[in-house]
Amino acid sequence: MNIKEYISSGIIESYVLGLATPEEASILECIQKNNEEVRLLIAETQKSLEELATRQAEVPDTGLKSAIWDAIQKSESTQDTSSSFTTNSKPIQLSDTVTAQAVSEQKNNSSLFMKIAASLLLVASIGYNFVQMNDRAASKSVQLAMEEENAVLLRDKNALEEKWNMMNDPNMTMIALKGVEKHPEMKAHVFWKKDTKETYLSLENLPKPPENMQYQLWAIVDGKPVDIGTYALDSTHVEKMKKVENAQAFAITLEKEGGNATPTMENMYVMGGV
Amino acid sequence: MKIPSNTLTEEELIVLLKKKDEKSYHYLYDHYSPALYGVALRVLGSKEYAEEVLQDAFIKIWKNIEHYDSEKGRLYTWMINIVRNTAIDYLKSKGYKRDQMNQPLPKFVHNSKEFSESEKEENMGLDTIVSRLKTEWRELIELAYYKGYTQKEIAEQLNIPLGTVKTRTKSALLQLKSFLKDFR
Repeated sequence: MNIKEYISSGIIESYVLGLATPEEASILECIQKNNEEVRLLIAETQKSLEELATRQAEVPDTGLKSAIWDAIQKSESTQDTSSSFTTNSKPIQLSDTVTAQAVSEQKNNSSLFMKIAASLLLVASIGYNFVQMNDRAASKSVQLAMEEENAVLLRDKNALEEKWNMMNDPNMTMIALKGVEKHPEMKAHVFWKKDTKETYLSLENLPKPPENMQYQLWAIVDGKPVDIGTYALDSTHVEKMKKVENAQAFAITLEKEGGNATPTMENMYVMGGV
Repeated sequence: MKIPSNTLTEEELIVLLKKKDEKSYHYLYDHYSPALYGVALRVLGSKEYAEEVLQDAFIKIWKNIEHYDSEKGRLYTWMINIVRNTAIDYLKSKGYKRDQMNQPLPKFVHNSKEFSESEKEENMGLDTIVSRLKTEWRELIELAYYKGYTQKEIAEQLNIPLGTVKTRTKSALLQLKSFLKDFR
């Protein structure tokens, strides 16, 4: 399905009327960010319904205006019992919150880099401790446990280094996939190389899939999901997936082992727009 | 903060609403309450319930203005959807029978004497727009937009395949758009 067919399917009208399923709506919201035609069509359709509302206007009873204002005041005061003394300085308080939020959002962009850098440092220091302890000829069992732990740390370190290198590649775009309604805490990252069209997947905190199941990555290309491959069951690394030419969004679903031809929408975990 | 008595752009209104200035409530109410009340009436068909819903919706708008995302649509659309969803939730919670929802919308009687003849005519004109829609399209807009039916529920109610719901929605809105243009 190309973008013309997608538009003519009636998805935009369904979305604006509130008929689209949450999955359909999140796909469309991703697409509209990158597609001017879709964005304008949504805006135009919304405007028609605004016009309908304007034409169907009915003036409510005159007393309602002050009754509603009283209700707003009441709901405000019950909400902020803890900080009721600040009511008078509300405008200042609010703008402060907004600034703080904006700052923290900016910070979020670089926080992943910071986390990875910090983790690399930690791994390096634990590795050093291990060498020190080894010199002091610790008992065999301790040494075995340490070796195992070291293997895990080394694996984590390699995975982190891999990710770190990817993020420093100027041709690499990182797309954050966020949890859908059913899995709000989940996240994953897709790395997409602009010049070679290669796609890499890092499952951040997605749980281990149940038996005989596998995570499958999809690219949304002109509204249609395209299979980008399954995430290897034993992998802990950033996994190389299939190439994709021009995606508007990526999503991950849980599928039967080996993957599916079409995504099972109910099993969608995360998604994010490019 | 001085609010000019003429019209504000949506962006200006959003800034004022975020400051929680009482004057922004007056502006909001004076400019939008008739349209929003009209939506609530269409959904609920009762003055009393529509007034309750309008109050709840204004409280939600006031409290959630920080969460309004201009990328998803204009402020007016956002507010219409808040009223519409509040009214639909109300409709479902009040145990309205689903089989009554397919009845034609009740005719609303203006209780306000302030309505001039021309305004009445304008509203009559509106009824003509809606009733001029082909039955299958009018039904679809009423079920989807005013009654909050899902695609599946509409397919069952109208006895049409699920895939037809989206394409019929498209035709219905195209027709509605062109009628709105005729009456402009």
